Amino acid sequence: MDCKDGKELISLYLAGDLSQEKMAQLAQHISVCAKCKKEFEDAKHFELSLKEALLLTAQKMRSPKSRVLKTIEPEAKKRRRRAKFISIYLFVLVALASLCLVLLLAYAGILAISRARMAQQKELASSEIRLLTSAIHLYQNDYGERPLDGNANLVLALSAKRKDKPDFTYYVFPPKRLKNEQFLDPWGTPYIYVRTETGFLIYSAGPNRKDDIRSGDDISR
Amino acid sequence: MNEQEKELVDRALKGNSAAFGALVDLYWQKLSVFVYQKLKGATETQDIVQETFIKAYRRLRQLRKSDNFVAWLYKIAARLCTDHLRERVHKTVSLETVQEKHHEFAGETAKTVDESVAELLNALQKMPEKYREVVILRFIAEFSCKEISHYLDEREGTIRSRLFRANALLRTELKQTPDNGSKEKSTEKKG
Repeated sequence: MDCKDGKELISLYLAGDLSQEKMAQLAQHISVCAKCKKEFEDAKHFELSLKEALLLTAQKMRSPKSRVLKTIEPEAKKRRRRAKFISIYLFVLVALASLCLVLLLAYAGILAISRARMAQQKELASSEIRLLTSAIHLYQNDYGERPLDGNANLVLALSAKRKDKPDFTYYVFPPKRLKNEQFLDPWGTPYIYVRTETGFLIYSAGPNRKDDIRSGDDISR
Repeated sequence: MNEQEKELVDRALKGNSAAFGALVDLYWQKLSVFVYQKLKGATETQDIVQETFIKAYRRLRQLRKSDNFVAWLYKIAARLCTDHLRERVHKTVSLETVQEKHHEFAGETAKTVDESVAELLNALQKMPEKYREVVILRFIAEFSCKEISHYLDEREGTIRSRLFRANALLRTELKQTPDNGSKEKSTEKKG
């Protein structure tokens, strides 16, 4: 390394960019070169004395802190108010979103439950119609004719004792589902029973409780 | 920004004055040196430093997390110094008055601090602006060479050579201080 390289390294030192490796190279050079050693020591002195002298000028000055804080206070107050508003706003927003979510989940739950209940009621109606049909056929075998038209007549006929098994009736009507001596479907409407020329019709008015003459939501089997 | 600065800036943005006060505490002294050197010892230094912090507070929202807070602060201060110097020219204050003010301040420094320190400061103030600026940014603001090059939009090599040259100039100036005649000659050479 020559003095030109030494100067380059001193300039790197002043710029704060001297790596440890290069610092070692410089140390080696200045141990044999008095001129560069002087140059390096002057550079070190330059940095330290300048720093010290410059900071001394600041020591004569007063901190602007109190005046700065006093000036910015109205704006700081506004910022505090805005931050508070934003936090309240966010809180309300989150609370509303949570409420909506809870309501949505509750609605979905209720919907699922009511759908399941509806399916269960349809299944019950269908199975009751099948059992009533079998009971009517049994009755017809025993008495040679079908029960007279109308739900009340059907209930009366099928509540009679069976000829082959006198301890049993043709159908066991649950008392809770009987109203005015008529057998109600799961939606509280009497089953519709009509005789035809060749047989009979028995069906439920379905969830809408309206006789759609075996169409729409009426349940026949 | 380092973590501490980020946290203080965040809190200041939410209206916490104490957090901004902590930032003022951290940087006002170094910033004062920077402004003092820019204005060549003007007594308005404290006003400019105060204005810098107020302006910084008002523009805090513009500061991005990736920005260097200190460099940003120095840029605001530098702009205010430039405006102030321009205003001073507009007010047609004669050069003599400015120089008188400067000497007043320098004289005050000399009385209160060690004489060699005063000499050093005088020598620094005689140095051309481009050298003085890199010295302040390097040794007071403690910017790295890369940060100075970014700040001044110059190559790193240029910054390094300016620092080296500033070192040489200052030493020459200090050697010549006792002899006023030779000092003047050296100043002419620099100019």
